[in-house]
Amino acid sequence: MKKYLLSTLAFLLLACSGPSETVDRPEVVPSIFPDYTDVTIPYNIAPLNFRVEGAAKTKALFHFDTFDFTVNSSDGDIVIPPKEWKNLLSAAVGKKIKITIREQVKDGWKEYLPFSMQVAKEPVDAYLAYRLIEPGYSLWNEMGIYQRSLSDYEETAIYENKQTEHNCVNCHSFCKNNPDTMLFHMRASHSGTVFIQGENVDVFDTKTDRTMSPLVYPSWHPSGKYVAFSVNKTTQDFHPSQRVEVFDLASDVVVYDLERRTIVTTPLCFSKNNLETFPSFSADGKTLYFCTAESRPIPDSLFSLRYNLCSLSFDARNGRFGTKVDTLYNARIKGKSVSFPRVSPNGRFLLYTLSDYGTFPIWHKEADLHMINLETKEEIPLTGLNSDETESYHSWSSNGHWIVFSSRRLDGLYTRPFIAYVSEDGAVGKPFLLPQKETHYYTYLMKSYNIPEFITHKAGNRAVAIRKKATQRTVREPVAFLLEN
Amino acid sequence: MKYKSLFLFSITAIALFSFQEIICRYYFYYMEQLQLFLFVKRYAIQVTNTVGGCSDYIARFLVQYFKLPGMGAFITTFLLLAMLACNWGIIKKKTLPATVYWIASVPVLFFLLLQVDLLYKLQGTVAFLIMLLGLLAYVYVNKSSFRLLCGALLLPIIYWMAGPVVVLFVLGASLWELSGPKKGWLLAMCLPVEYGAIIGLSLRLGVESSWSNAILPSLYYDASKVPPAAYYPWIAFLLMLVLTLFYRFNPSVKSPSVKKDLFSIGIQLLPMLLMFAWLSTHEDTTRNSRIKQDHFLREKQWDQIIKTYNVSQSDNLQSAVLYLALAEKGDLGDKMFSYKPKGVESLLPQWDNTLFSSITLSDIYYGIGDIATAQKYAFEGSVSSIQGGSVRLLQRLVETNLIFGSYKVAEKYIFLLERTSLYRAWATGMRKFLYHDALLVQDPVLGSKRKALMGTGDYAVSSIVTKTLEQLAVHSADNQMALQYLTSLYLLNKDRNAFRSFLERYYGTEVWPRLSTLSQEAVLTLERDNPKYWLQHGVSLQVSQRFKAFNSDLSMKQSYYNVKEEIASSYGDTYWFYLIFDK
Repeated sequence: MKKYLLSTLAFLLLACSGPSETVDRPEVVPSIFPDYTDVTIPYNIAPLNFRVEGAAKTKALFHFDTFDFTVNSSDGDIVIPPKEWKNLLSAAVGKKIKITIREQVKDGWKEYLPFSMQVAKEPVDAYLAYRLIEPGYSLWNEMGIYQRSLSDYEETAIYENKQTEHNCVNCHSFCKNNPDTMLFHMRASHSGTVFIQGENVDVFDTKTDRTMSPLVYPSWHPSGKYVAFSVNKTTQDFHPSQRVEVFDLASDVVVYDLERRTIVTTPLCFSKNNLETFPSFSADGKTLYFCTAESRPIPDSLFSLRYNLCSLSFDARNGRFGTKVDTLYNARIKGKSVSFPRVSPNGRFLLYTLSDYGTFPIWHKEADLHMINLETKEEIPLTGLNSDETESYHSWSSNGHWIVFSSRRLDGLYTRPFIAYVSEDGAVGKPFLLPQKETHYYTYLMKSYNIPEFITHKAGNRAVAIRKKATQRTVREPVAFLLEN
Repeated sequence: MKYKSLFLFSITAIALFSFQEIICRYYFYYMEQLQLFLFVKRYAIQVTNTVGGCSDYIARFLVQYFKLPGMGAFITTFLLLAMLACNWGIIKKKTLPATVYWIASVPVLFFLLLQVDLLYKLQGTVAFLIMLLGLLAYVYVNKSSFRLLCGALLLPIIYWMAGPVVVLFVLGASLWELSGPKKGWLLAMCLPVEYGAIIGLSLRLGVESSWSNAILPSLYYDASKVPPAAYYPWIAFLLMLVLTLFYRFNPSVKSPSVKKDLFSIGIQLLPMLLMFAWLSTHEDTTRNSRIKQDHFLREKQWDQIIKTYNVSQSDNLQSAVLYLALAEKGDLGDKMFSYKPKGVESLLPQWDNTLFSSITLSDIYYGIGDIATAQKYAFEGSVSSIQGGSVRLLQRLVETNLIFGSYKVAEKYIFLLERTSLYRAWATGMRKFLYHDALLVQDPVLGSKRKALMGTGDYAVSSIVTKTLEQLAVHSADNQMALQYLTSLYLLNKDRNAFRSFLERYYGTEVWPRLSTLSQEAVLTLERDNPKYWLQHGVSLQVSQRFKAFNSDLSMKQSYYNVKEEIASSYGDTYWFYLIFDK
């Protein structure tokens, strides 16, 4: 307590000891990057370092109740000491912390209006997994799937493509946020799907005679026994208004039974007349959500290609599908196209992306996040979450109180992960950019964050085993394909 | 003896510098632009935080100065001389005379072979030097137990700093011990065992991806398959050590008589002279002309491009650069067929995913004014650059993003360029355009290209190049580049209907105020017997008379077996010849 009182006193004394005693108090909050003003944060998050734009000598007073400390900066970069930050957040759980910025100006000091951060009661998962890749058109070089500790800044590789001749690695997916049960695909050389279950690593070639492609967009069943996938005949082209347009010429949804090593599906989501994609299991595993649109000549009719959001029941005991498809979002009536449906772990909310048309919204500036309350079927407004730039991929934390999503809002090109709080009733807090130790981190980073997913703990280093399996061609195929009537 | 060594060393230095400056000058310029060296701590950590990272960082630091005239040759000469001195130091430890200078020079000279390989990274040379310094330190420790300790400590350091070249340190030290007086084989085993353990650990931790990567020079190549030349310096170095031992144990050779005359010096310098001669006669002239032309392209030396162009040695990319130069001079529409184009591919080649193609096509499309395509190729090239980023392409991305008004991305790239040594001033100069549309449109280059975007504004990247060119030509009348390309494309495609359509819509307007010679020739083929049409569409008397002469000549020589060659001698540079004879 004594320490904090001294810290406050020191802040006040120092603030008054500049070139003159003048303290100007403009009625504005400071311009800081990243914009952490009035965000909601978990108590176990790493320090939210920021810089005061255009400032040189700066002081930041962090305050909650009787706890406070000051960070001094000579260049406007506010680098928060981890220990003090942790103590502050621990004390302020469920409350707001206040930050006051003073900037030295010619005639003395300028003290901005304080801003706050709401500290949520619910923690966020320990790690965030993502792929880092250049936002290019068709080429790639080095890429990898990484994990970042959210309580500090440690970033380690889950798998880097330098292990396997710079092939493409993509679509990492975890069962209930557990990195011990995960999968990802390898494309180009050593192609196959890597399944990790505990210490067991397998690489499967998942292309069958009955499916148009290897398995693509995944979603784990909560039991860990099944994974729903799409199979897609995807192409990409240059586009009149987007940088790149990715679209499907054909697609279906299937479920892979890991125990029987069998692909099962139903004509309801495996039809030549429709494009079905982006499957997603509900939290209880009894419902399979997916996006679907009527097949039409592509790319000529691309602008009128819009995907509905549908659901289908699924019985995990026997791996059978229901017989009726429900439509949650009717694209023909509502005029937009759905992608990336994701159900919250408590089963109450469904988060998805809406864009003007097409299947792959990551290059669509108009793409925004939307959420449905599955109990009331009502839309929950997410205006505080979206921006003028693309918001696309998103996922839930294991406790259902945090979402992470990709957004290009910083510069319109490079996707960055933003984290937002979701309350019990579905109210969403102002999102915050994944914090970094260095405030210019994102300026230097020439790669985009792709498929951000929360994971409950650190993934083990299985790079050697994966490389061995992939390069030794111990690749197995699904043994059967079963199309229900 | 001392003066003779100094003399030999000086001669070598001058010869290496001169040879590289003459043969490799454009290679150095080319390599420099393929990387982005940032003077920031995080970049240093990022590069050095991997096996061989220190050598990579030093090499990248040095390569950035290749941009300055003569610095490429100077830096590489310095590195090669340092290697030579180390080799000499190792040999001298065995008390050998200066007459074996040539042995020391052979491994070094093989690096000249690698220097001119565009996929070779200077990192390999720096790494080799680090290894040599380590080995030099090792052999100068006299007491065997201390030497063993020294080697054991140096091994992981060299491995981390320099990468797989450490295998030469291990083999070199082992050979050294084998030549020792007693129990040499025991000492010789220690370092290989230690290195095996390090590799095993590295593989387990995922630091190394394979055994072969840990013992072969693949790290120093940006290619999945390493060419045989990569092994030559390594093999030569090991042979040097073996020969050193041979000299040491052969008394008759150990103390040769030293003839202090020019003949003796000549013998010592013979390997270098042979290497120079071999390299001069085995030059990859096609590649050399490409990188030379690339330098002229970057520097916008259009006259040099036209002057040095060689039809017989050029591929489509080179001819496309020539046509860009002609277009920049306003001569494309007059002289295109003088350079024997091989269809549309000679004007606008297909992208083959290579870095070279990305750089060239980005420049061509930027020159034309198709900014979206220029940006696409700049980005793709940047992604596939050898060193994970290209300063030249980053400059292009700054320009294209400024033209598009994507200021936040442009600002990011400017921020990065401001952290380089030689592009800081350029980047700071571009900063004034950020968020300042009024200033940007006044800029003669950026402004005119921005203006060309104004049209319908609905293209970013179009796969139909003629549609894009037409849009650019119509909306940037003050910039005739797009018009030149569009009409040339129609002519090369022999698409007379599209040519006529465009002609009849725009001839006489500000879009197309005057016809080039080749366009006039095309007009004549649209209405062969309609002089009124010719006059209405700006065909000169001179061109129409030549057309008559061409027809008359053709009628006369039509039955000749070599009619094509006969006509080509007088009319090979005309559209009519291309239309009839080029299939």
